[in-house]
Amino acid sequence: MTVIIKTDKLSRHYGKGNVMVKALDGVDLEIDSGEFTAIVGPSGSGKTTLLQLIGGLDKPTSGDVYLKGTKVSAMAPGALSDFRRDHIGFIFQAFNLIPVLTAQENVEYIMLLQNRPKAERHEKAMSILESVGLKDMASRRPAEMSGGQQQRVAVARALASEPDIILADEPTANLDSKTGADLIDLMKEFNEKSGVTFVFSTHDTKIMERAKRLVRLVDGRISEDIRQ
Amino acid sequence: MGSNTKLALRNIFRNKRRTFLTCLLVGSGLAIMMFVDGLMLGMKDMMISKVTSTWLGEAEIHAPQFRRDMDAAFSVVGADEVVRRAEQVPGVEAVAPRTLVTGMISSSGNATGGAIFGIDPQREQNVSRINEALTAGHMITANARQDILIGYKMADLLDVEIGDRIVLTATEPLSGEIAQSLYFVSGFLRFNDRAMDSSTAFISYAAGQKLLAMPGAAQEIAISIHPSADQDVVVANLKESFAGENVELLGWWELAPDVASILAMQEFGLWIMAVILFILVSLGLINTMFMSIFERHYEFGVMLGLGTRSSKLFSLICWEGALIGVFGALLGLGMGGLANSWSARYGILFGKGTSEFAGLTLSEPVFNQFSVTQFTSLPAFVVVLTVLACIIPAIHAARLTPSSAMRRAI
Repeated sequence: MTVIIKTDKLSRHYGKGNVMVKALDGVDLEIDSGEFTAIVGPSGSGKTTLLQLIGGLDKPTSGDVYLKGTKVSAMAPGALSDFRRDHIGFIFQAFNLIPVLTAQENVEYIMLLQNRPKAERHEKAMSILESVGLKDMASRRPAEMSGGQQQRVAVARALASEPDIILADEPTANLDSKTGADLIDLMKEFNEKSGVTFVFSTHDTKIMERAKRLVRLVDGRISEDIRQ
Repeated sequence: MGSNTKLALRNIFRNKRRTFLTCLLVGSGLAIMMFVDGLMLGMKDMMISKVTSTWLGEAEIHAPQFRRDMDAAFSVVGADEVVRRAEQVPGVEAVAPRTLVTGMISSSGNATGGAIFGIDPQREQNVSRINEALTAGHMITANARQDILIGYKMADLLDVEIGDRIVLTATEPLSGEIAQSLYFVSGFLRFNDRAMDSSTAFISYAAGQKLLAMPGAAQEIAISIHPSADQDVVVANLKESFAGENVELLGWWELAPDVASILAMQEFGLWIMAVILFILVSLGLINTMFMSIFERHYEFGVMLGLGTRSSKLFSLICWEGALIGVFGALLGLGMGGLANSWSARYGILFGKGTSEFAGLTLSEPVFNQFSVTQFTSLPAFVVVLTVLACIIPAIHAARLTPSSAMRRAI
């Protein structure tokens, strides 16, 4: 198994002096390609910060992040944007979708950034929406969908760019337990079918049970790393 | 439609009320500028008409040294031939020769100094408003020997009625001898111009030449230009026709430079006002755009996270501004067009009927005019300014990092 995500003494601090907060404190982590990993821990443990640093959404205070062997923590902003576009899919906790675009247009958006032809975008978007069970919702805007449906569209969008890694930051936080479980099962299904590496954060124990690997964070450090 | 344009169009209609109010702000600015431009054009037209058609004409021919001291000795020799040649120039509507001398105008009750014009009434009625200015009595005829018209204020000063005697005293320019002639008041004139109404008298062209003992000469040849002709072009053609000859040909703007200066200042003032007005509009627009951006911080964070470049976010905000500018301009064109139409039809009367501006009496309503500028330069200026106003908010959006944008929104 090849290592697809590697963090080396990764730290992120906010503030200075007496008011400095160590959101992450020297985290070393390796995740293999194709893994389905849950980052767990209480609120404020650094789950979101870790995912943001892995995804290049934030710069570390110290340490490095390597994705597919590339040192993303040292990339220029433009190159990092392009790297995210082509290799990383994101599913955020809430407000994932662009409100003025339909479900289909939201899925196509990432492919638009990749300059794919219109016909290809359209065909792929409809295909992916069908695979998440939302082909009939293609022309609806986010406000016309339930929370669970919106998250499914977010999964579809994340997959549309054919990424190597999908990072999901508490994707089930605003969903009821059944809908949340269904979403995790969907992500697991895609993980097993396509081999895309999934890393998601959660503090829901029922969701944790579905992950193959659990990395527990406490106060910005890894306290446990369990393969289930 | 490009992806950014589509996204921008949908974004600005997220909050329809706010977008409408913003477009109304932009449009109102444009409408005000259109109205003021129309008003300035109407006022300019009226002032030029007042200056030229009251008495001056759109151009005049003199002997080169005449205007320095208004010395009647410097006259246009062979005036009839000059008149005939001037009439041949395309765009010239009418030509009227005049004698002119400064002299004493006396009645049995009083005396005053003034300008004594010798006019050809047939020609003069096509160049100036002398016929319309007649308020009492009758117009002099071409060969009238003793008829005189005077301004109504001069009539008051001299205490004369129709038919009363007036004696004109002037110096014959060539001999230097004093010439006196007796006339009878045939009518009063009211030009609504202080100088004309109080200091001018009019006799026939023939009588004027006889008074000055200068047969065939005129001190002034006034020219009116056809309304549809370009004044600058016609005056240039007239100057070319008489180039190298012993005459001076001047356009009205050279004859009345103070009025020309005021009109030029008005135009400059209009653009100053436009800049100030649109700075104020821009401040409102910047505030609106910032509000809109702050509401979408998280969304921008998601877009950046997905791989949207900062430059694309920058251009998105600028596109939103441009679309607001376009819609605002369309609204403004409608409002400004209506306002100008109303004023073009009904006019605006300043000062309850009579007011003075730059030495001219404005007794008529000002009618707004449409111009190409109102429908091209001004709206384009609005759209460009709207985009410029969005640059600061756009830079703010482009400088967001995904994590900070999502954090600020929580």
